[in-house]
Amino acid sequence: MPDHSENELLAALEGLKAEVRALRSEVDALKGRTPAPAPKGLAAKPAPVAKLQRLCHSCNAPNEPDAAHCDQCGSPLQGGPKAEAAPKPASRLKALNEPLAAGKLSDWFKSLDLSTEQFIGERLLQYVGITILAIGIAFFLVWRAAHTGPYEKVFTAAGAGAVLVALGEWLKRRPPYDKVSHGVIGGGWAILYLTAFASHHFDATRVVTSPTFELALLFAVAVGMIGHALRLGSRALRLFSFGLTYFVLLVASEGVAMPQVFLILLVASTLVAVETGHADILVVSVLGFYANFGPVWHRMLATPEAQRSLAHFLGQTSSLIGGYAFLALLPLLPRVKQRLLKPDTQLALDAALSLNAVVFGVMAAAMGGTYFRSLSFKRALALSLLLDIPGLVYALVLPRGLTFAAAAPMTGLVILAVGIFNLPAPMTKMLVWMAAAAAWTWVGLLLDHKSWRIPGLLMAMLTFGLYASVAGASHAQRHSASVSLFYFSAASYLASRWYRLWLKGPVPDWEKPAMEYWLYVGSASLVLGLWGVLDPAPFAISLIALAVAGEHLAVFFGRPHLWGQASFLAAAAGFYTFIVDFGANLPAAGPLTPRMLTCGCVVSGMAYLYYGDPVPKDSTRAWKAWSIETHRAWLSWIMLAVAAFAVYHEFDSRMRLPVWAGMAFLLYLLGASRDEDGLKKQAVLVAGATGVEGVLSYLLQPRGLLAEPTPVNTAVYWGSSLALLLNLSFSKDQRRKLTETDHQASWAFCCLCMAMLALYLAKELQSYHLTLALSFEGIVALLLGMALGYAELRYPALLLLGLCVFKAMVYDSSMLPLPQRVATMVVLGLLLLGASMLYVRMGKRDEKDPPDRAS
Amino acid sequence: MKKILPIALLSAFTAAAFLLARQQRIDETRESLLVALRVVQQHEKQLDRAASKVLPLTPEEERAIGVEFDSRLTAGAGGPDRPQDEGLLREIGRPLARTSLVTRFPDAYEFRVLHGRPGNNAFAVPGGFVYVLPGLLDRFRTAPAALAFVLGHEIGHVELGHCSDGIRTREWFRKAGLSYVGDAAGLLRVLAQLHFSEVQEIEADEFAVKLLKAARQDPAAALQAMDLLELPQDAGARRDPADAAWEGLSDYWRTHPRGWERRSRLQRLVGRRPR
Repeated sequence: MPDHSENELLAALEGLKAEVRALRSEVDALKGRTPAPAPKGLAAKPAPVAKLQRLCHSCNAPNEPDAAHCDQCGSPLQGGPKAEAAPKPASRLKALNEPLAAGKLSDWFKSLDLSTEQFIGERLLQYVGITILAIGIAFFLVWRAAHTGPYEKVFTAAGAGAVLVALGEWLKRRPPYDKVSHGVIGGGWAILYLTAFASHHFDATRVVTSPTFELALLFAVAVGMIGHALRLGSRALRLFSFGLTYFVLLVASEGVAMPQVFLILLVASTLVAVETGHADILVVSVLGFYANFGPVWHRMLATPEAQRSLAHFLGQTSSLIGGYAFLALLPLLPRVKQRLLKPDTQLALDAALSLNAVVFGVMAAAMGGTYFRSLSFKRALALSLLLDIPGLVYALVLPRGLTFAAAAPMTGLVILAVGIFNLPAPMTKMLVWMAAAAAWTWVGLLLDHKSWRIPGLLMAMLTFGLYASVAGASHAQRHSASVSLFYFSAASYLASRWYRLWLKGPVPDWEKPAMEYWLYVGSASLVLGLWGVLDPAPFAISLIALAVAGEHLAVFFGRPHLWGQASFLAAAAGFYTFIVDFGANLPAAGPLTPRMLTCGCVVSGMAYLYYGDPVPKDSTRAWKAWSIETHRAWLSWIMLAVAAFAVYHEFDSRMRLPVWAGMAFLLYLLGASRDEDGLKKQAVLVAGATGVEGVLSYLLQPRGLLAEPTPVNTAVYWGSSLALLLNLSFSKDQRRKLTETDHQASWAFCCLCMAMLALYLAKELQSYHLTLALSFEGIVALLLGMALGYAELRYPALLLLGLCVFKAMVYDSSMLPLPQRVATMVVLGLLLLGASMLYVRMGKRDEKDPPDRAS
Repeated sequence: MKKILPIALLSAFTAAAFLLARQQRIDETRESLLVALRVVQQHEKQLDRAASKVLPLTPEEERAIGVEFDSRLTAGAGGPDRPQDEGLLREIGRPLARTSLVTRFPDAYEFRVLHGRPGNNAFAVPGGFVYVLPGLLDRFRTAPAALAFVLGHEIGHVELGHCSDGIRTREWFRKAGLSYVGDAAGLLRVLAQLHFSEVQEIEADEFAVKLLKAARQDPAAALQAMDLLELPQDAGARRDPADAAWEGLSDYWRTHPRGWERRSRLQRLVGRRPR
């Protein structure tokens, strides 16, 4: 008697057996078999509820049990009904029964739902295995080649292939080995197909002597292989069989008119694809079809130059063009639309037809280019039309969002661009290029199709790159190319005015600035064209002229973007003058040198924009990049920099100081009259910089590099320096509202005045003469400061006197002979004493009079 | 007025552009980053000069250093000794060295030919020693005015302190017994000088022209010297922005300005339009 624990174990064992039976019945149900009845006496657990359905082998979509074709992909359903498994225990079942997001390759991979180990074990091993087997058989044939006759070899190989196919069929019905069945079948067919190929092409296995018969044999095997693949419904086997067919035919006999054969094969493949609803066949077919023209191309290149002609070329490539045209027309056929333009097949169709357009375009252009030695414009245009016309029809007839509808015109434009690039005349080249860019854009606008607009716009942008390559060759070419840019500029301005006139519906976001885009293209072309036809000096003037005109036109047309461009050009004109080398820069008009003329024009243009202010502030508010106030502020600084830079180059180290000082003084007067603190600050800055430059560029400059001080120069220098003191009357004018900048300006100009005089003396005099002269200057300034009550004069004067004392004590006394040393000391001492007495007197006066005006 | 002013302005601009377009040769003006770069370099050179006020080198000290250099250079020179060559140089160079512009070593310049050395070059060392290589002398032998410009250019390097500026720091540290510091400082200055050495050449050219004028010789000989040196007339006719940018970036590695730049500056000094 079994004890209690034994009973429990037996019960558990029975339970496990029941589970095993349930799982087996589930597997049988999945394989379409009637589940085996449970043995009597066993309390079989009820199997998981399974709804019988038929799964499509192509897309794995579930179908009704009585359905003949797949609802999703339209392919015929084979085998018996299959059960929709319960969610457990096999996770693969769930994936099999879930409807796929049709047409996405990534989803197909996901649908496999295999772990890496499963993939290796169930898929990779069989592929590798069958490959190794095929190679082994091939080696066997090689080994046998030395020992057997061709018939034995061929029949052995064919037998091996047939056995493998039969084995695959048998395994298909023996789960779980059905997983390797497709691989075995594919391998068998591959061996059969290769055997058919070898039966004619290799001496050791040649049993067929007629190439036509061999071709027929290949076709027969291919038909069998493809038919079998279609019946099995395996995508991998299907693509493999088609790919192998094309590949073997590619290397097959040249005695047969292969291009025509391939054309027939392409048509047949297409029919199969359409009728079975497997658009992926088209992808393989397109690749196989065009791959065939590699040898054709090779043969064409061997044609002697004398025999080359358009007729010969077309004769050789007629099949290529025919195949392309056949595929290009395909999506327009109602049946193709119905069967392949569906969500689940559209991806493959898109890929196939896009490949058709791109590969045909590239291949035909390359073949023509090498055959005729270059791709001329006419041939490029003809080829482009072959692509563009279907593209146009697609845009008109087919729904939007198809990739091939965009690929065709894009490829056409690229080919046309290459043809344009090969045009000899630069002006024609530029004009045709821009015409093509404009044509594509306008077609895109008229059809409201971005697959035309975007390439057109891209090509328009590349115009400037083309210009650079054309213009770099020579001056004449640059001139011609520039003239064509003017035409493009005019067309762009027109386009910017009448853009979207024909378009309906809401404007997509990306396209909203397109109207302004044309404005930018127009301006860029205009500026680039001017750069090409003008030398740097007149070009700089043209930039500022455009800026002035642009601001007025912006107001007239109400285009804030035009104002933005004009304001940019004004600044650009200023910066451009910094990089213009005027060469010898000899006078061009009277005493005016080219630099003076150019910078004078630029500065006056900027001054007009700054002071004339032709643009109402509110009209530029729509321009977000910068405000008009910011622009004007920048403009005043750039204007100052341009003027200062020009003065630096036009005058020698000495004479540039009074000119800069004069500029500073004028700026201050302007700032005071307009009550603009910004201008006054600029004046102070220029005054300070002039002082620094006085030390750096003038004091340290060797005398040998300075111009001789003529009376006129000296008068100008001294006059300008002393005139700076006039600033005191403005900066201390109590009737005006004085600011901190006014105070700074009065100090800056007084110091600059004294510094400039001191620098002149330092440059012209030496030794104790200099000490005495500087002391004299200091005393005069001190006296003036006391008389007028200006501390701005007194402090620099005291500083100068301090420097004189230091120089006399440290330098002069050591260098001079005793008499001069005594004289220097005595004179300097007396001067200082006198200064001190003056201070005492001023102090007494101040006790009676009101306090110092300056302090 | 508000309507007339822009029209008048645009008309004036058009007239100026037209005038310039007519007067300028195609390749006379060009875009170049060097225009702005030279301004920076000139200021660097002036700061370098400021160091001469801090670490002065008297003419006597400089002469002593120059004598040392001269003895080393002449000792290393080989080849046939041709006294008539140095006689030619003295004949041409002495009048230049006697002008009022020459203040550091007035009438004390020594002119030497370094026989046996290859190259078409001339150079100067501190202290007023000018050397000409035989290749250059042969090329300029029939153009004494152009040779005067070359000698004036080298005198300019000495007079403007370019030669002494290069050794000042090192000498100062050497005197202080810190030769290693001096060598390191000298190396740093060499690196800095690479940036403004073109300015020194431009200054020397300018000085040479003034020297020719002061010696009552034809300053146009400067342009003849450029021809004999086969310096290119112009390299910028293509007006390629990439070239202009590269020209500015690569300027650091050059010791002398490009031919077109030297020529255009000399043309302005001489007052002669380019041919």
